[in-house]
Amino acid sequence: MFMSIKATEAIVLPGVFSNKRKYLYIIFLSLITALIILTLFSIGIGAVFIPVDDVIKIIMHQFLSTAIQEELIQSEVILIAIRLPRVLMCLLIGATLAVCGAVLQGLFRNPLADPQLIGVSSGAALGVAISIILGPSLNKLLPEMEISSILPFMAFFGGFAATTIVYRISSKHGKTSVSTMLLSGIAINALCGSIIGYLIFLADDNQIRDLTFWTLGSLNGSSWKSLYAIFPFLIFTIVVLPFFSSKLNVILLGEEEAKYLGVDVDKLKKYMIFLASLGVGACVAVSGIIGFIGLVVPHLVRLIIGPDLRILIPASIILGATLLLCSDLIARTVVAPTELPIGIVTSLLGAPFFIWLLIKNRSLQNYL
Amino acid sequence: MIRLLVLVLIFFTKSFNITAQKVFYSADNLEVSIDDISRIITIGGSITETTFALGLGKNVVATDVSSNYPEEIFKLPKVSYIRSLTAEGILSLNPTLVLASDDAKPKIVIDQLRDAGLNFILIKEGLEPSDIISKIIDLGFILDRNIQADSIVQAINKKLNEARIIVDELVKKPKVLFVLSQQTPNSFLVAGSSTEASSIIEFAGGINAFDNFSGYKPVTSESLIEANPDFILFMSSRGESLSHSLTETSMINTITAVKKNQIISMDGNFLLGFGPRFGEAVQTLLNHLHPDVYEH
Amino acid sequence: MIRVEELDVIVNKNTRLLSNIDFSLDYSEIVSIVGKNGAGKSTLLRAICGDLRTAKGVVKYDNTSIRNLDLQSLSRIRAVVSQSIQLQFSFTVAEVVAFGRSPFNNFYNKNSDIKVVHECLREVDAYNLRYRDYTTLSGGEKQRVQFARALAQVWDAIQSQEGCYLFLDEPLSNLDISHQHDIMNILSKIVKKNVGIFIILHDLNLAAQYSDRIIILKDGEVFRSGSTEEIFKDSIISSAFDFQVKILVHPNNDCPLVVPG
Repeated sequence: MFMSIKATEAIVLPGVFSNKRKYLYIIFLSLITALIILTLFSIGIGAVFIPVDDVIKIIMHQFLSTAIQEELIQSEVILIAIRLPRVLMCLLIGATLAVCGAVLQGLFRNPLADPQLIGVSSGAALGVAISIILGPSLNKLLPEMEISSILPFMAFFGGFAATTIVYRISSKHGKTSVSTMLLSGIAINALCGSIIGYLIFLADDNQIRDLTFWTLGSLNGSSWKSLYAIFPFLIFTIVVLPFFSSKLNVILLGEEEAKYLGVDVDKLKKYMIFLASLGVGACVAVSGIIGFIGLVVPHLVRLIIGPDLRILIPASIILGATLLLCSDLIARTVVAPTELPIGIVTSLLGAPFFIWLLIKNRSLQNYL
Repeated sequence: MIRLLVLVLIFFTKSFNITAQKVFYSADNLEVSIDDISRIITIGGSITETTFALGLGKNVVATDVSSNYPEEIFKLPKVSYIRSLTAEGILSLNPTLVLASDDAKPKIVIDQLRDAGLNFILIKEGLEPSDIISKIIDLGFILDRNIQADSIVQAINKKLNEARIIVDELVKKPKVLFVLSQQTPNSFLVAGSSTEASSIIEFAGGINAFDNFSGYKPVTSESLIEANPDFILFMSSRGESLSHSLTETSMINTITAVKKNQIISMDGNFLLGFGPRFGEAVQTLLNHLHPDVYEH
Repeated sequence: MIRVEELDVIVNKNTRLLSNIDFSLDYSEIVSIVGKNGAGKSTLLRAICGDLRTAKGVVKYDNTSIRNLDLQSLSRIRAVVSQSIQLQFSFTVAEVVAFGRSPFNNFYNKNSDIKVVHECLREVDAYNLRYRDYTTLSGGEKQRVQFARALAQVWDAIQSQEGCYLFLDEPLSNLDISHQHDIMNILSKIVKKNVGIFIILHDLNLAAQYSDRIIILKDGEVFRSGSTEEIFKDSIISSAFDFQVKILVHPNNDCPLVVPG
């Protein structure tokens, strides 16, 4: 799985097999530059504007313990306790959603696949609905328990359980049928939807609003604590998934072909689905449902640099982080001092783009 | 030299302005010290209303989206919805004190705000008159307006006592239906038990038409006919269309409230605010439900 | 050498696709499989390649049972071209051929792979297509590219003559007559380099002209097997396909020619 390249033989970049993809270096460089600039921009901008020189002073104060003026104490709190964890959370979640989208699109050999397809989101939503709506009654039994602290766990386990069920339904003798998986995903989504519907019927107005806000997604609750909690899951997904890209590439030829080319397709599917649900489940647990990043980012990258997953996955990681950061910047500044749920922004940016893509590239119809 | 004098002067005036430091126990059992009430953000309709009633409206720099009384607050910036507060939005307005209903969420944002050194107080709310009174007394203490708070509380108590005397003498209490909204032509979102609406209906000498479920739930027009309320109550902000569909829908024509045209529309904040105007609201509703008794 | 002994393939509990197949494929021979539609030709290919579970019997590669060979080592000694390969994404032709190198690469391609890819593309007369989007190719072009991909997979073994196998499932069905003979000529050339070739063909004349051995499958069983001279008789072919045919002789090279009648 990991690179073991003979020292005598130089490796070549995947772009060598295409005359249009010679500019890989330039594309990657500009993607990274855009990400860095946007990150710095995001740290400075928000409901409270912090000038760049103050940002630098504060960061120097934090890491090098230099002196700092009294007036900057409040900016420092905002920057360090509120904005920095949020920006980092954005980067990680954007990257994870995009990389999981890219992997699932490859695995399902379908450019319309996204993490929602394998039931993660609806399972997580069910977990959240249970903890919001049934939480108060559970609280009577376990007075120590706090709803806000069990919610992320319920989301994570709900998502994970739903995906496990979808996977189990479609696997037999260690073989997984992709088409059965798509159908069972739809069935599990519908089932979760109906249970949520029943819970909504039981809920009061405030609980319904809480649930609605959750399904629209928000990075408002980001803190160092929540960042530390999901960091291992997300970084694991982001780092490990790219190593499977050459094998996923071969799967694009067809599962049978991939087997003939030495890829253990069923094992690979199991690993990929496990990792994707782990990553997306952790994202959903802290941010709610953020749509379209997993669907649109791999698409966008494919338009620019082609479908080779060895370059598409790393590029999706960078672009996913950039896009989510950009969406969050819009979400928290455009109606300041209050803010929009981020799911609204990503869908508002993503849906028109997707429609444009469908109209422009009618050959997408071949996929359906 | 003059500069120094001015500085000393500014220092003194400043220190005089600061009220003596005191401590308040927030609804989440946290000790919060109150030192500066010059820039307040209020979160929650009745908290906002009470703060204004206590005469500190001029110190309020922002409110949440759900506050909409009194008129002055529409000129102020709005910081997010009560159940999805944002830390930066609140901090950007440089408040010295945040007064919030204990409904305020999420906890993580409240913690962040407190970590940022902000005095963030949660105030307990409830459906009993005692909850309303303790809320007003608490706010009076926090804002150093004890006397004003006492007089508001006395006015509420007086009105409630008057109402109670009338209600106790009532032989027959009418059935009152509170409609929050219409969902489909045949389904209405109505108040069950443990709602603000059912609470105020009982204080005003009525019986809530639906007490077999709690919260606001959708019911069909069929069950409206079965419940057969004597009065229908709704918020005036829902406007003409609701009252129109309540009276014009042929099926509902059969219920007493429609037949007798006993349909009451009241301002939502006034009716369900559970703030300083609670006593007044109870009296007004009582007046609607028992016009004959109330006159003498 | 591949040996298959008493092979049965049963799917869905009781649908018998192949029964009692004995078969062998040696290095340096072209074995053609012919037969009616549904006779079990593709099933036999998939069973030998290790893609299907066999109900009974063993498949042995050089005396090692296929069950003891992992996919990775199997992929280095045999390449397969399936009937039709649909790609959903716009890979270039060269990228598709480079997939054939994946058993030898863990992550990125090496410099030597570029050479192999280009040589394989030249071999199938598709070098000028190398930057084309695979999804826009015609059926025949796709078949040639897939053939090149399979060649790239076993290219090292062909060059070093250390022995490998090539399995082709109707690789010529969409090709024009000149490209059909081009591909068969490539096969005749590489078979000499210690390569065993298993090819499913519908065109009996091509099978007759290029095969060392021909196997006719009928209803999941071996109907007849043998050399061109042994197989190409009016009665055998007619009853194998349940259709009256006549065998003529090519005026120039003495090859049998099958015509209806």
